Amino acid sequence: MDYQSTHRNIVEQCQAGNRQAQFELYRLYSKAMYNLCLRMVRDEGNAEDLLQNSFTDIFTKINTFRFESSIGAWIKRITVNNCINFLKKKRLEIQELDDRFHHIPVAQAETPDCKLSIDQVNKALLQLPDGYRVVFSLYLIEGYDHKEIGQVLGITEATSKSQYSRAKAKLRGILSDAV
Amino acid sequence: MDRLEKFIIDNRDGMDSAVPDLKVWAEIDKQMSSADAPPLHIAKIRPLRQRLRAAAAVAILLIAGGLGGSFLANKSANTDINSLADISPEHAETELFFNQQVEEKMAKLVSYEQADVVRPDLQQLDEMFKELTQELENAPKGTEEEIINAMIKNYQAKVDILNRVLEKVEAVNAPQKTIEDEISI
Repeated sequence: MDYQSTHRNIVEQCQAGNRQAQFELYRLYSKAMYNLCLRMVRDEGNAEDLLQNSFTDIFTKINTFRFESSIGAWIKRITVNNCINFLKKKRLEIQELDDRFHHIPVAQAETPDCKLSIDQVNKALLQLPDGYRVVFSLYLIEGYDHKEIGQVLGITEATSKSQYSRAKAKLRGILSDAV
Repeated sequence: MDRLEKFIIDNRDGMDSAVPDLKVWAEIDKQMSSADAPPLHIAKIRPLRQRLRAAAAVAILLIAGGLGGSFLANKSANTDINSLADISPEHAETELFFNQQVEEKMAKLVSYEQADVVRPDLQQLDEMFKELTQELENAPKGTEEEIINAMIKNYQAKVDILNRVLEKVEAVNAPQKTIEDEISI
């Protein structure tokens, strides 16, 4: 919760339209948000477009930010929403994936963690289908709970949970093939 | 929590390894600069205030910088020793980006007679930058980041000055869209 006070000064300057403060805020959050976009949409070009649009939205809307949450969470929410809207336009199908990937070798392999690198996990994550990847990223990497994911994606909490466990199983399968 | 989840959470920072291209900021910067004419009533007020501030800045610069200067924009852009590029490739990219911005904007500005007004300010920023590089050389461990931040801010300040003066100069030279027009809206 330190974030709330740490970046307050920068946020207030952004609200006053100060370009240097905007750049400062961009420098603080652009890398994390870019990686978030990349995990959500996979493609670098689209991720850059989404990063650009998100920060334009952030600076345009920053006057509505009331310090009720951390600025980081607020920035993340705008970015996540933009990514979801982008994917929805591309027909992000959660239910459909439920059926298509029903038979996954869940217990087949325990994660061989001694050989695992984070880079491998990153690459494996990008191989997951959209619905799995989005739910998995939001839950484990961005720290959203299933209720929030349900709200963002317009699905039930239970669907989010089942998508997550299937995504994890699938990811484990990809990783055990890779190692 | 299973081992895979624990591994990912323990290595969370490693998940964010990709770095966005600086052109993304350049686009945001451009969009925010051209967002001058939003339809909202409240939003109208700010650009006006910015314009007035820019006008004041130009007035001060005109007085302070009356002598002009032999300083050249390209000189400010290419310091070959002790630049950000010496610190890391990522910083080299940042530096290249800002140098391009400065050059680009300076190139626009030189076609106007008011171009000289920014030179003393840019020169002053260059001197500050030099001091920062010296400070960085002797910086105690742990304080480097702060100095690097100051160096980046220094670049951003240069771009800001050029943006403000360009905006003002272009407004003055453009076919009439005056401050009075905006006040009456």
